[in-house]
Amino acid sequence: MKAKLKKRLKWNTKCKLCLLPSLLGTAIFFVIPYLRVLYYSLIDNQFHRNFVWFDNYIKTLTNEYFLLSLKNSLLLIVIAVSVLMALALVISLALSYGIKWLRKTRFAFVLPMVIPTASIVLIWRSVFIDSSTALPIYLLFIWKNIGICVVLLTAAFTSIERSVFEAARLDGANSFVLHTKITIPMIVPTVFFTALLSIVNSFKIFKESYLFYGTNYPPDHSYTLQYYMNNNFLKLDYQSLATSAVLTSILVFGIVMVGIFIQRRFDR
Amino acid sequence: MKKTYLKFTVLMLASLLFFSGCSGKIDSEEIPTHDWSGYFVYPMEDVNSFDVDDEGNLYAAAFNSDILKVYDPYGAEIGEKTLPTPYHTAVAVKNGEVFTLTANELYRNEEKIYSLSFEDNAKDIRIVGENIYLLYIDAAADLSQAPMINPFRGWNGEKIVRIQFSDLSVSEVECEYPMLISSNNDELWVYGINGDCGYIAPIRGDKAGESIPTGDDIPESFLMSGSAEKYLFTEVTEDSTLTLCMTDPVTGQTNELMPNVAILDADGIKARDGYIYYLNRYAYAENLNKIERIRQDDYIKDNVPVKLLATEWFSYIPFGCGRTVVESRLSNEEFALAVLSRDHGFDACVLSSSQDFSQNFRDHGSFYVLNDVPGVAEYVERCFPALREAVTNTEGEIWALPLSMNVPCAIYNTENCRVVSFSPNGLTLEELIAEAGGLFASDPSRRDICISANAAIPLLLRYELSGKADALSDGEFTEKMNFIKTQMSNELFGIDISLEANNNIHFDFGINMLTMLVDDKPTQLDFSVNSNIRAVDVFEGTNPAECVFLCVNPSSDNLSATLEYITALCGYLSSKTNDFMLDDKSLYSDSEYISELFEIYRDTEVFFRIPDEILLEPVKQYREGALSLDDLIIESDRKLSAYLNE
Repeated sequence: MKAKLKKRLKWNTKCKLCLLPSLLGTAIFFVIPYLRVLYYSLIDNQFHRNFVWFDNYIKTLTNEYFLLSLKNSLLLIVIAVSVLMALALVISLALSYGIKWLRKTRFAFVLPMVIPTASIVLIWRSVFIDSSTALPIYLLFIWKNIGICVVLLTAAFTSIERSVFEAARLDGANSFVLHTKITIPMIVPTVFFTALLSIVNSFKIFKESYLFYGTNYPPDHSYTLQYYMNNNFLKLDYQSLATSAVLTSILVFGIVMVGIFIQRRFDR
Repeated sequence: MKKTYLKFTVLMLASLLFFSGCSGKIDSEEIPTHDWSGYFVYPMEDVNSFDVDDEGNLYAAAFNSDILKVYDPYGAEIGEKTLPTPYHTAVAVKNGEVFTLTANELYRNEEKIYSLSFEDNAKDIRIVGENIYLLYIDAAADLSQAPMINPFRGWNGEKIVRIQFSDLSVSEVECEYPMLISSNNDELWVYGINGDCGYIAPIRGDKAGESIPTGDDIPESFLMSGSAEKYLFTEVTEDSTLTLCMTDPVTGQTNELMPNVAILDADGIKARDGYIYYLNRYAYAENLNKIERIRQDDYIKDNVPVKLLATEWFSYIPFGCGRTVVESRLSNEEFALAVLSRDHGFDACVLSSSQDFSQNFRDHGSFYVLNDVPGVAEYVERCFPALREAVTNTEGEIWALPLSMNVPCAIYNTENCRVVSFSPNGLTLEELIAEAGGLFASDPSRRDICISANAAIPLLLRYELSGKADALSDGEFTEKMNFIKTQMSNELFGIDISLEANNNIHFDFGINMLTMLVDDKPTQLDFSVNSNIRAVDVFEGTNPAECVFLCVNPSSDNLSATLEYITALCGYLSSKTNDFMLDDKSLYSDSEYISELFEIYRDTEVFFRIPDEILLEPVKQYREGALSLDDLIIESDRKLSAYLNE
């Protein structure tokens, strides 16, 4: 017994030692910088460094442009990600259930991932001359991310064993029951993962948006959190930058936690 | 076990965080003290020859004068002696005796002790110990054998002879192609050329010691600073100003010491007991050559280079004050990152008020507060009011040192303008542009009325570009836009005719008609010798000024050395004349042109600018017809609101 315990402890120690470099890297390149940003968000400026606690947060949360950027970022998540997921599901279904002509064009969905951003934006600017709405950016986001979503969801669909469907059919299940009781529950984890990935990617659309509008001050409908942070960086306002970065991380963390919570409830 | 691991992890992270750079505030007790008042100018004018005795008294004789005046170390005249001839090339003083060198004769007091042949030409004498060393050009020397290391200057047949005090015996000093000699206390050094480069070597008796190779820049004069490692000479710097520099012959590293210094005589620079004396033939108009003195320790240091940060768009290297200033240029984003992250890799940075982040630097940036740095507060207090205000933030902190200020104004030739019945006096900028445009329209071949659109538009929109809220929504902005569209649409304003395209206008000491002084400092366009030249301001209210600032990085690895440099720089800037930074009329020439410029520079306000994309780029699109006026106002107003309020 003792020997077993000893062996197990030795194994645990080895495992931890193996994990140590990765943990150290995570600590150095993620955790510590994050803690430093948190610290900077609690002081008045980079030279005097007097603690002002949550004054910066109050200032940022009451700033009309931060609220505008937050609203635009959330709208992008709610509208663009929803449309993206719906479209990706339909296409994945069609690819999985063998619509031949669509299968031949499946590489086209991956193409947006490999085309350089500047080239995409060049085409978009010539197509979408009117920039009075955020539609060009939403469409750009959907077009760019449809590929990865289709790949993931198609993989989820095709990974469901045929034998499960056959067994259900033998038990008398119709198509509706097959999809609602087998297909959907089995792909839900992948759907959630894809949705979360898309939400994270929605924060990365800044590069395309910046190139499209060509300015640090796009129209109000496209002014997202990244613009707010980037402009504060250029204005050397590190405290506003740090505060908005922390708030954004809390937002993303919240969204991820909600997603996990829903997924777990669904699993049960 | 899990709780232990958790505690350990938290402890480790906290330790890493603690040691990773959350350092405390800068210790202000590290500021060094420094006396910067080592620079002195002797009052005597038109000096031709000089020397300094062991007590530090200066002996100087004017051109074509046989009176040798004596000054004590404080500049007071304490006596005079009579030279045997007014036609002196050099003088030397030893133990109360005066040695006078003419073109080919040497006198000891009144007695001639040595003569060269008539064709020869004496250049310099130095007294070291019991010997007199005389440098002269031997007219019979064979120049064809001399190495050519520099296409502009070379060996002219110089030779050195030694004359001993005891018996006045003469012997030739053996050294290869000498060109200059220098003495410092009891050592004589020679500068010569051999092979592919120059060299310096000590002279002992009649022989040269071990030589130290130097570069191929042949100086007008040279001086050993007291150790074998460093020597001084004047050279032309990148901006074409003659500068007294110090160079390490081994490493080639050059430090700038004093600008606008031309030592054109072989005997033009000497040293005695920690002070360096030089005859400056450049800094003064009408040949009023004067002796200047600097304290060696103030300027010659074994100091680390000052690492300066600038952006690709704008650069300015301040005077070195004995230090090498090394500049790095970064993009705007890299610059912001370096400043915000408190990068240790730079000591200071330069900014212009026309760069959009300057104001943000003042309000949010990380800079070392200069209030307690010796010399800074005194210097800032002496500056024009606009500069004082610009470098002091709302907390009363001096966040930067002002280095330079440009104020746009119109410079014109009264006589030439009278001929065409044109006068910019009393005109606003808009009226001036309209009048100049009219003259140009009547004769499109003329290029002497040049107002660049790229320069004029920011001046017209100075109030709007300063980021005042609601600046775009009043009628005045609309009027300006209409003016720009109608008056600045012809070819003159469509192409960028800058001052540089008209070198003949401002480099021939006379201006044909009119120019707008925008990017050049008045001292670079010195028209004070031409009494027809005038300056007039063209702005209603205060004149807009653009200022260059120097900010110190509080995280610099060489903070104390950098602050010493700042103190020295303040001393240097405080002593400059006609520099249009200091609010002291006594530092400026008496001409009407300079007086007018002084009043213009006094009545200014430093304008910080918003980013070009907010207003200037939409204005450009409007001028090109790509944007209507209403769209321009809506677009720029929206961007301005975001810029000010985000």
